[in-house]
Amino acid sequence: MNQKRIYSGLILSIMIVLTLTSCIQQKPVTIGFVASLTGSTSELGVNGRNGLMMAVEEINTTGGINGKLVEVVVKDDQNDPDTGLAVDRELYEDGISFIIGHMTSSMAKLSLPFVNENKLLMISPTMSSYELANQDDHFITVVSSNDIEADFIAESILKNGGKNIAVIYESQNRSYTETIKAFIASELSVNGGGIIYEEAFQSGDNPAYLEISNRVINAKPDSIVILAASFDGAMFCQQFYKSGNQVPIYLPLWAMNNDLILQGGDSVEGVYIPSLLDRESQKPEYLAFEKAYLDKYSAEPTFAATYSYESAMILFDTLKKANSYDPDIIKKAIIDKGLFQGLQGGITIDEWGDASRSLYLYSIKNGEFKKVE
Amino acid sequence: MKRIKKLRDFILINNMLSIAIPLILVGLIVTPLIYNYLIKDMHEKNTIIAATIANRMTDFMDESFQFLYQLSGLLETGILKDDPAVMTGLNAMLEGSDSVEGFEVLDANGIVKVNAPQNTNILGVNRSSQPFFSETKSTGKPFVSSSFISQQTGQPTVTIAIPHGEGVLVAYLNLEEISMLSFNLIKTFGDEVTVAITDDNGVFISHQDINKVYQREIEANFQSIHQKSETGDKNPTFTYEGKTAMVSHVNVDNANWQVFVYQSYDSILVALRSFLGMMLLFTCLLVLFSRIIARLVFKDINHSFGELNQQTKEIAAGDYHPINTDNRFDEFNRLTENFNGMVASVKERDEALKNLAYYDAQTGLPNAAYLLENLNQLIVDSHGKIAVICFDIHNFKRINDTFGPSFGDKILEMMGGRLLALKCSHGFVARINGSNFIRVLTDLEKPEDALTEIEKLRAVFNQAMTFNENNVYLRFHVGIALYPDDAREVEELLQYANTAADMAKQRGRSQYAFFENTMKQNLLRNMMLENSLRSALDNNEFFLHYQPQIEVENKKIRGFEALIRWDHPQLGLVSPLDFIHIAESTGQIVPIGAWVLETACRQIVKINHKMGTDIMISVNVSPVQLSHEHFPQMVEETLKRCGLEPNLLELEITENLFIHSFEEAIKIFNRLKTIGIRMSLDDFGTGYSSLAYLKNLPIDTLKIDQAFTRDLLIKKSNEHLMESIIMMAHTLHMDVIVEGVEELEQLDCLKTYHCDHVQGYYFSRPIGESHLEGLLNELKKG
Repeated sequence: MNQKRIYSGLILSIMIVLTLTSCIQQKPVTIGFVASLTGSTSELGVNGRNGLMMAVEEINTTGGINGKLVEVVVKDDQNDPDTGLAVDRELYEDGISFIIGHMTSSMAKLSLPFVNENKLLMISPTMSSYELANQDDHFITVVSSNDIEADFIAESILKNGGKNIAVIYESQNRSYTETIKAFIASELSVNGGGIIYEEAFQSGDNPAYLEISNRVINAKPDSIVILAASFDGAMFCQQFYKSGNQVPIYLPLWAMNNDLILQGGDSVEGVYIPSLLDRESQKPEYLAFEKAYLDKYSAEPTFAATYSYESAMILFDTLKKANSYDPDIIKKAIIDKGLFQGLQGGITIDEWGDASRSLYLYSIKNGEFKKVE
Repeated sequence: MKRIKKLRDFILINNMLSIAIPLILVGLIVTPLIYNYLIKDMHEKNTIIAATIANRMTDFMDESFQFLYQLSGLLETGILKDDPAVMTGLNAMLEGSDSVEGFEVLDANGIVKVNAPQNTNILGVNRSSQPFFSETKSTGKPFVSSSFISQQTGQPTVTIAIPHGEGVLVAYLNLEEISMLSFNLIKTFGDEVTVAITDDNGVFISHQDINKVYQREIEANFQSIHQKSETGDKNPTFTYEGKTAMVSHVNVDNANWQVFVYQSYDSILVALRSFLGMMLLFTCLLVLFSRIIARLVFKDINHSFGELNQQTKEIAAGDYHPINTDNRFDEFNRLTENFNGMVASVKERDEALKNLAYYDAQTGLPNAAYLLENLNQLIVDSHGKIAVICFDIHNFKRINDTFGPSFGDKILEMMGGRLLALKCSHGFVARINGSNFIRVLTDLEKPEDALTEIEKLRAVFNQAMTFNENNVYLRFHVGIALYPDDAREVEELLQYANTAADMAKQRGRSQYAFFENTMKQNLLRNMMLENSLRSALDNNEFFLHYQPQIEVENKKIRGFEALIRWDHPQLGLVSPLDFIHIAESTGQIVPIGAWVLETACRQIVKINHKMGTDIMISVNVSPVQLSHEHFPQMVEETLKRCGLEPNLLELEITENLFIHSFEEAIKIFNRLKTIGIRMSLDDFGTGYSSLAYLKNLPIDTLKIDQAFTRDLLIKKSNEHLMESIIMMAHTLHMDVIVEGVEELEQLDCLKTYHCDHVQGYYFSRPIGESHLEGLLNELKKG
């Protein structure tokens, strides 16, 4: 018997155990999430994050991506393009190649060149600027371009007999709001109408809601369009409510949040708003998602939550099937596939990475969103 | 069993394992217990922390509500009469409170009537959808809201509300203040725990990472924690950012808030690791300690082993000494005692074996093996001459035959005793075999010194041996060979001493002889004869001579005695005296004897036939031949083959025959007699002539030895002796033949004594067969 042999045997067995245990745990897949999560425009981002977390939870409970769990690094772009670029860089420097976000189109101007340059893959649930469409880039969106939304709003206005409208629009998310404004204007002008008054404001800087509202009323439009997030939208509606305004108010998809009703109270009764969600959808997938979301967050899922969930699911599904973590390959795989099963129906993604989705018109009745038939 | 290389390693390893294994087992048993204890302890501690913070939150809420009640009181009592007065009051209250960052007074429709700090955007807005209005109004009870974005600050907030008249009073709470409160509290509990507070939906309203509050992040395991707490799970564990943590949570009484206290399992593992580290260190120290002790202990044992090892090695090498039993370990002492016992018995057995191997049991003297070994050694060590003295008891066999073998044994035993009593110095006495002894005498200055020793031995032999009233006097003959004069080798020395002894025996009784070179030549000649004897018969080297036996009365030929001759190709004619004893010793005598008998018989038949006579033929027979079991049968067959009448054949035997066995001799004689042949006793008077033989043997003819004939005419007494013998023979009805008659006087003298026949040169020397006829014719003529 040799003492040395006993000691070396012990050391060897310890090493074997350590090696085995380290092998069992596979390295997780880390993705990034970027959105505005704080301040008055944070409702979209917070809902988006919540929806994404549902997707992550779901994929992880079903075994992850080919055995690898998914981790999310969440970053707040504060609805500020510079901050947006900074957080994108942070994610990139952390070795993250896949980003769900951003949520607002204003981020695109600085963020997209960075994403393209570093060959990351960004999938946005809600970024819908017309300027971004029809470009071969490292950007995929699951929401239809905002010219479609603008047309939809304009049609609703016309349908309700309006044509000379006033527009209040948020200036930070200009690439979105101004696009919509422009398309509405052109649509109305075709029908002999137009924007008779417009005024921009900047969210989060204690905007002069009351004064702006008063000036809009003074312009006597037959319809008012507030291109703002839910919080700001509600605040403007409150001002119009205070003044006893009866002019129909139109809000964009951006404001399509529960917060709108909460913050707006009676003041948002009767406002029109397009929705990317059919809230009455009876699709089992949607109902299941809706219930799980409600259980978790004690609130109805918004379109931001739903679309974030769908974006993540498209990414996870493709990663799983392609069994690759190369953004180029994944992007190509998504575009090649083209058609994905969303919660309420198919999601078609074209060769430029742009999607086309259905829009529904909603109005608020008795503190609830009601589909306008 | 597997061979273990070293006892030391075996003891050290076993010692080490006997300490390490129990400690490891204890570690394995104790570690989970400690782990469970630490978890339980952690859970209890954290629950207390959570409860403490929850209590503080309750107080905080109470304090905050207190503002609203105070405001309500002020409004009701009408102290604050109009809106500006209310406004002023609210601002004053805001300044006095860290926890509230805004107030709103809502009317029955939820319209903001007054707000502080003042904000025209908010004044007049509708709060009807806000739960803090609708719930408070519908329940009429104080209300705490979930987290939402404040219109005052654009940041997350939580409100508290109480009903006031038809309307509602609302206070916006400062979440940063709540976070600060909980942080300050948690600091006192160390940095291992973190704390968070959520609203009823799980949205953080306080967290170390304030971003989670501002980003309205939801506690990731909010639902699961509740489910677990409902199922009574005492130690709910969850994973946060890849780390497992224990979560303790407590409700805040007057709000639907939850206080969560997190502690990572890492902290337990750290505590456990230090315990395990201590355990490992302790084990290592103990193992080290045990090693040192074991080494010290083993040093003693090893010393004992070494001692024992050394001593047994010496014993194994043949040094049979007892081992020292003075050891501090009783076991070793017992072992050495047993070993000593074993050594003693081995020694004893060795002695016995040595005795068996080197000593003769009969005489107690050293034996042949001893002689060979020691003589060789003496030769090697020798500085002077060595005498090898061989002495042999004369006719010992006869003594044995006469008095029985036990008597012979007793004689040997007594001899041994006497020789031992001599206490021979300068060498030793050994018994080689039978009655043959060897005295080895060293340090001789001259050969004659050996004679002194022989005299001493003779004195021993000359004393009478008495046993069972029988007295025997022994005689012995001695041969001496000298080293280095005669030979240098043990074998040769012994052989030469023997040869010398034989020579002495031939010379006479109780004589001695020094070995001489002639003896060596004799030996060589004998050896040569022995070798050529084997082929002599086949090569027809033997031939017969015949000597006539004459009737004294009428000078007629009675018969012939056939005498063998050997014509050796190198040595020429060899006397029967030289080769017969060799043929006897090798057994060659049997075929040679048969040849002689056959040749002689044919010859006499031929003569008788030719001459018309009835002449007898006498043939000498050796005792060796006679003792051969088929001898009588051979004689009978030869007679038939040759066609000789049995009564014409006379077999001559010597007295030596009776030395071996008298009874056996009688049997053979009787058997031969039945054939019808005659028997004669040759050389009478030279051996142990005993009247007993003559009386009891069926002997027809007595041949008196020529020694008597030679001395016949010298002394008168010899004549009388001859006469007496002839008379005695006649009395026993035997014919007498006197040999060696060479002179007429002798013949005349014998004639007067009525001797029957004579044989000798007077009539004829032995002649070849070619002369037989001539002799017969000559004697006929007379």
